[in-house]
Amino acid sequence: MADCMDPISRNKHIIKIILSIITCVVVILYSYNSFSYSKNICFKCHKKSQFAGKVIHPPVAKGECVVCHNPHCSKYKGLLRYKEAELCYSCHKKEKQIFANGIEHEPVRKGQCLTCHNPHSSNFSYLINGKLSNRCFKCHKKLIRHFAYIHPPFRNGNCIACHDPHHANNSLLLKATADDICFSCHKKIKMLKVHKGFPCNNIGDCLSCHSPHGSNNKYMMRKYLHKPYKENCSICHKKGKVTAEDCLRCHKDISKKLLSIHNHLLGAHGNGCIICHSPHAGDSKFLLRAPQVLLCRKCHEDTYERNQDSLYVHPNISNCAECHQVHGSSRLAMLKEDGNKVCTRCHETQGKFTHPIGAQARDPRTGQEMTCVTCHHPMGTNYKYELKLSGKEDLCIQCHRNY
Amino acid sequence: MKNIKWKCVIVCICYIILRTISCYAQNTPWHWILTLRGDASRKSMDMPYSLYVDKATSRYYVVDTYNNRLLSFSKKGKFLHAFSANQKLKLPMAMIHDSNSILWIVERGKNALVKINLKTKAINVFHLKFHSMELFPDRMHEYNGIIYLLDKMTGNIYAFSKELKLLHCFKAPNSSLGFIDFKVMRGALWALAMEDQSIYRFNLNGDLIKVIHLSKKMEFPYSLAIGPTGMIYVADRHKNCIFVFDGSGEYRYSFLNLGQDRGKIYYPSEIDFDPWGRLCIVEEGNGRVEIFGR
Repeated sequence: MADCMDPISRNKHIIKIILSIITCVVVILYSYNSFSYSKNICFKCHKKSQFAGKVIHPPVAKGECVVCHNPHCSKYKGLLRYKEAELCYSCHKKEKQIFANGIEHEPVRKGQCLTCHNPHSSNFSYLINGKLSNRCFKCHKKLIRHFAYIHPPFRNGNCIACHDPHHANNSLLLKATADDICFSCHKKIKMLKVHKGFPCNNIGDCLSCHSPHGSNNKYMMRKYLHKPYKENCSICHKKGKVTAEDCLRCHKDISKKLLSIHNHLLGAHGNGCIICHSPHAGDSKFLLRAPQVLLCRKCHEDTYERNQDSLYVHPNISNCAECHQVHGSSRLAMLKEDGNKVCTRCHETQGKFTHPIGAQARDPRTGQEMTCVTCHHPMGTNYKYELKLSGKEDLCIQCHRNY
Repeated sequence: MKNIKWKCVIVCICYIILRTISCYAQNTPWHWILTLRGDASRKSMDMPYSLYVDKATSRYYVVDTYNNRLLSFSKKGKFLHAFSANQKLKLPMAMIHDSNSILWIVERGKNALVKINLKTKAINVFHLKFHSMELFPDRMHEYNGIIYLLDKMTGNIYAFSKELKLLHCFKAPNSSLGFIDFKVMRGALWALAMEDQSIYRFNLNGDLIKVIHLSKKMEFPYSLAIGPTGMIYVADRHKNCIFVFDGSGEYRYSFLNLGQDRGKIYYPSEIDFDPWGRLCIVEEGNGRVEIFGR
């Protein structure tokens, strides 16, 4: 066949083949270079030793800096190609889907992966920015860490033994229900033997007596014990189930509050009290099952989700009981008092000198009494002073339509 | 004369077109019809909690809870009468008016079911119990002479005869918090469980027939109503809107939003259909009842 070609066309054919090979080589080299020039160029300035560690992020290990960084310019800090979480999720696609369900850990929700992880290298697994517990305690500063008796996972800083650091379907980001977590290590059969003589045939609700992190009491019993629990179980556990009525027999002040339009009698097959309070022991005086804000959030997650990204939020918003009556109230949103009194307890000046409020000033749209919450929404808004709309004009013309 | 007729026809057509456009602009077939608010002396309602509609007399009765009174309105929304039983009512939450001129009122302030005979003016107060456990009545409906009460203490619904003999109990097997609202109609009891966002349908003997899981996640489902065609309407108290589902729980659409103006809602406490197919929404936050039609 080649013999049939004349020499000129044969040369042309050979040149064509050589040119295509050169083109391919150039393309391959260029693309290889674009990923690997970091090996040659990036590390000329950025010392390679800075990226050393027991665990190295695969793109770093391969010298593929440009997977995350743009070497020339970027609108994001660190010359990142995309916004922090967006960049991470461009590879970690599965995680993005998983984290979207249930309750998210605050940094996950805000897309701040680097709060906990180092994107280059780390001496700790999962590229954690330092020792796991140190990382957790950096934010969770209020957690008490020193007890006479400490739960081993807590002592070892193994927070993820019980908590999921990204997301969970249980409050407090617990990996499963509290009892399921406890019984995964403390076998139920053994626990039944240890708790012999207790009035319940089937043990459970471990956290109603034990503190999961630690305690100064033996067996990690919580700090405050319910009086009947301390004295004699049979005071409450007479026959059958202990109902809210049994609780209210002693806590008479609470039963009066329940005779309000709205109350927190939550059904719970007869005892709504034990949804928030432990009937046995607690770390707070009121034997709450968790810090108050977390307890409220358990049911009112929507309120937190709605307001957590607001630009303006009332200070100390996490202390719900400051403004809300937690047992029962005849006021809207279970406020302690009406929408004026509850605010003017602190905002004294506004109580005396402000836009007309009270029984004499009526909202023309509804005929309702004007209160502070007619214009303000202290849980959070995107307008200054937690106004419901812009105070420049939009809010006022809702009522003053002729202006 | 002919001109005037034609003008009237054109105006009517324009009105119909505009109304249709405004409804579809909001993506809802519902439009505001009327509002029930305070009494003749312009004293507005304060924290109204529930509504009772008497088909026989074509009257709306609104339980004006914080003002300790019951207000009656005509079908057209005209205020008729205020009733406070000589100011003896203490935080009324729900009421029914039976054919024997007897008012049954759930009073939160007394934690009791109160029977008022309007003819003899006799008042009887009953503290209800179930297996020696005190009940905490909240919502109440009547169907075929039976009184159905939601107990806040357990989240269960109890059926009583007019002699207050306990007949049946309706429990939510999958929800630890129990029910938040219920309606009785067409030979069935429909109950809303907030925790698992489901509707439980029972027969009137207390047997669970079906659990309908609502496909759209809501924030704070608080009250339900069953439409004339079997559609399920759920009021979301915190999101301030109404979610609509078909009979199998599939989400169809939602309408209304937060506000004080006409056609907006603020802290809805109960929704229900009146006998004329109109959707009534009791708003605690705005102290009124808004009635919507299709």
